[in-house]
Amino acid sequence: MSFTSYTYLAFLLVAVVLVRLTSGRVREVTLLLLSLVFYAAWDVRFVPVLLAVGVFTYFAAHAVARRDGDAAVSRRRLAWLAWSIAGVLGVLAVFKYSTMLVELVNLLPFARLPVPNLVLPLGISFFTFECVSYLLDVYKGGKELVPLRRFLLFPAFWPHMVAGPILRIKEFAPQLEAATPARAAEILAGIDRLLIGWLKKLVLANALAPLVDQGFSNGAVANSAIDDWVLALAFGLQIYFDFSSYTDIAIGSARMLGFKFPENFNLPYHADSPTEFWNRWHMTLSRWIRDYVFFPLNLRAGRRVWLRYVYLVLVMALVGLWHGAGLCFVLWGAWHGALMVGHRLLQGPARRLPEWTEKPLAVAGRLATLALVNAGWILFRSPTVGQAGRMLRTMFTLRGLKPAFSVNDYLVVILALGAYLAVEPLLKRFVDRDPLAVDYTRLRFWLRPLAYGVALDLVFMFDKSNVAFIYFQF
Amino acid sequence: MRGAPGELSSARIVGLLAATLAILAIFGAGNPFKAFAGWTSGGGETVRMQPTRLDPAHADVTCGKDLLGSLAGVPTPDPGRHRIVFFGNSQQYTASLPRGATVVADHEATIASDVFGAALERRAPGAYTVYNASAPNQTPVEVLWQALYWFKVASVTPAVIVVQSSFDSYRKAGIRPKYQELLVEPRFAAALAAFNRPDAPWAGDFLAAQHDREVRKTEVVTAKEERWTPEVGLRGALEHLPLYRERAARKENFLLDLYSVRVLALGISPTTRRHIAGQALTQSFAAMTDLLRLARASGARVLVYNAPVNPAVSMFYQDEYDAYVERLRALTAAESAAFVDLAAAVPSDRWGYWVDGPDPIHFNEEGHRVLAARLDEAFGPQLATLAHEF
Repeated sequence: MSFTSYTYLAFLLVAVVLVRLTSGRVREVTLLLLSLVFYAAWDVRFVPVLLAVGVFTYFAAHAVARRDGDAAVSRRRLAWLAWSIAGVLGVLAVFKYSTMLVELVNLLPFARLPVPNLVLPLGISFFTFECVSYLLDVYKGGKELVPLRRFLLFPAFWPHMVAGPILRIKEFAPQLEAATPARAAEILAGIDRLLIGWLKKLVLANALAPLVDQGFSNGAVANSAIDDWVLALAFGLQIYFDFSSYTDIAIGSARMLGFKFPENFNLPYHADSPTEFWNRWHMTLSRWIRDYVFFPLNLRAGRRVWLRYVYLVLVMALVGLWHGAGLCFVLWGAWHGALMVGHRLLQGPARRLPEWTEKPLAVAGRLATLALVNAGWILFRSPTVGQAGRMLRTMFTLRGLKPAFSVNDYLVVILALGAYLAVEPLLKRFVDRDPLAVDYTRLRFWLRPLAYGVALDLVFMFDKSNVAFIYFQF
Repeated sequence: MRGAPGELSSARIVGLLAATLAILAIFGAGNPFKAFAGWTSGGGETVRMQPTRLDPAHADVTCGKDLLGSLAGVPTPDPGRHRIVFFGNSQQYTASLPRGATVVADHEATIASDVFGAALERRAPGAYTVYNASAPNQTPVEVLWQALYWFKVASVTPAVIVVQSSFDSYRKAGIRPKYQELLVEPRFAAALAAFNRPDAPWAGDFLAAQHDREVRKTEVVTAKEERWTPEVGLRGALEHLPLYRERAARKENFLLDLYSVRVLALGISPTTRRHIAGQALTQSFAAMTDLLRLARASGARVLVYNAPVNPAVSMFYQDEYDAYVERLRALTAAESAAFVDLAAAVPSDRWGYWVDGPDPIHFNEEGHRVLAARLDEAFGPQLATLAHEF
């Protein structure tokens, strides 16, 4: 059941009505059943995987939860934590990385292992990370979420289960326990968000897809430097509109059901440094990695600055690996790690420059970040490392400056860039408003029907429900 | 009277719903995109075509699924007659009119392949039947795809192919859906599988076309079998809404509007000079090479001509164009195909009008006669001689 299908709209409508009609335990069970129906609509075979991971995490959390005791109890808790995290990540490893691992082993001259061909359960990268964060939070003294039916909603709640935002238990549990139904203004805000997501996906992301697919095909051997730069930007915009539109629909859906999810994007291409980019791009993954992996490693590194940099590159390579079991993804992550290290190394000399250089440097930083982040997308999107290397070489050596795509392709990229630069900041301001603080008696309220009419007209015209979201594969 | 912040009264919700429905009804009642297209076209001055036997409205008969159907209607050449097939883009079958000229009622403009066929009949009576397999914007990769049908599946394979090579077509690649429909013919699918080489620059397009076709086939099968799914049911219900029912036409008009804006506001028209380089160029030349080899391996003679270019329009960079002509000349020589450069064959007063200036691709009926005469001059004697050798 795609988020951009009419079936999903009907499903959501039914869900909103059922949630408003129920309360307490019945409401929780209803939400859980609806979540399982949503997941089963994708592939019923994966429902047991989701439930198994959820049930395992629930009981494991009980074992790792903080309690009074001696050193032996503490050791036992730590052991439980290690084994339970290994268990959850093991499921992810089996489904996502076993093929890659076996292929790597088979590179050895004597190894002839059969290569597994497992289908990746939808959203597994997301719900396993949420379960790991839950285990760690409970270990550190966080409250357990009980009973089981309530906890299972944490990884399974459909608006965030497939592709985030990656929630933390402290964000989700209080909302679930409070069980406050959405007010009319919140439902309206949810509808706004849903329509924005649909438009971004159907009109913008899908319009960029043919150019990107064509440009990266056939090894991209004949592309000029200018075309590869345009392609990088096109894919950067496509993946932004695609993923952020998914997030819009997820956040909008949750809002209509009375839940407030954290934001996942904050105008990422406005960032003036690579570090800033990761504070604006896939924000819930960034904070997960920062809090559970990078900070602990940073503490270990102590004053050894070089070791922090090594950890930074390694952690970002892991972020890449999380996106996909392939060398291109790892290199993409490492590229970002290297950019962040480079940015930190430049910060010292930059501070010693005269004050008047501040503004030009900020502009240069923003442009450089935009260029380097988009160049990184070449690694992310290329099917092979060889192709990515060739394209990056062409881009950075400025080999060939003749634009060879059709005029319309460039115009689509310019329009998409224009939409990002001109419309996205406005939309961001619009959706960031607290719907419960808006005065709906103002005359401009009546602009909504017109906006809805235009949005629906565009949705109908560009509707293509069989185009999957890019992040569904991760 | 002001309510508390965040307070949304029931009356306002109902009003919002009613107003939204009213807006949808108003939108569905008319097509503003169509009206805009009419306005920007300046009362029909955008482009005007005299109908031809293969006019744009019927041009698709030469592609894909329609090719299968149209072949059934094409009389098999009489015994002893050899088939000549023309491949090219819309220049081969349209008759564009100059600005201000009126379409002549009940007149079908004669196209170059017909005039050429008649001239050939005089040179070698009863020897050939000419068939025009041109299509709009047909690229070399698509010609190769279509030629596979002609050489591997058609009951009477062409004895001669006349390939129009238009540089403008080298800037695009890919196989459009109409062509993909040829895959319904199992012999074509088998021929394609045998012919495809993973290392060929056009191989990606061939694979993508097969993939697209599979996806569409699944959709078509689902729709035809009317296997009920909630999505099918909901879409069926939405068909009652005029705005949804008319979505395809609205989108088409909307995209035409964007095209008009592009031409009129940005000044980017078909006559605007553009680079032709990169992947599409590589794929196109590779496809042209394999087309010539395929024809030769099938025992067909290949005649290639460089398409006429409107002298009043400068749509190519001269260095790129010269390199293209040289490469084409070298390719045809290497593959033993006849070649003639007819770039300057049609004078500027024989071309039509296109949106904001001279038509860069299409000429009028007179232009077709000129082209046919030059083709006859270049290839006629050779074909007359060949008629006795086949």
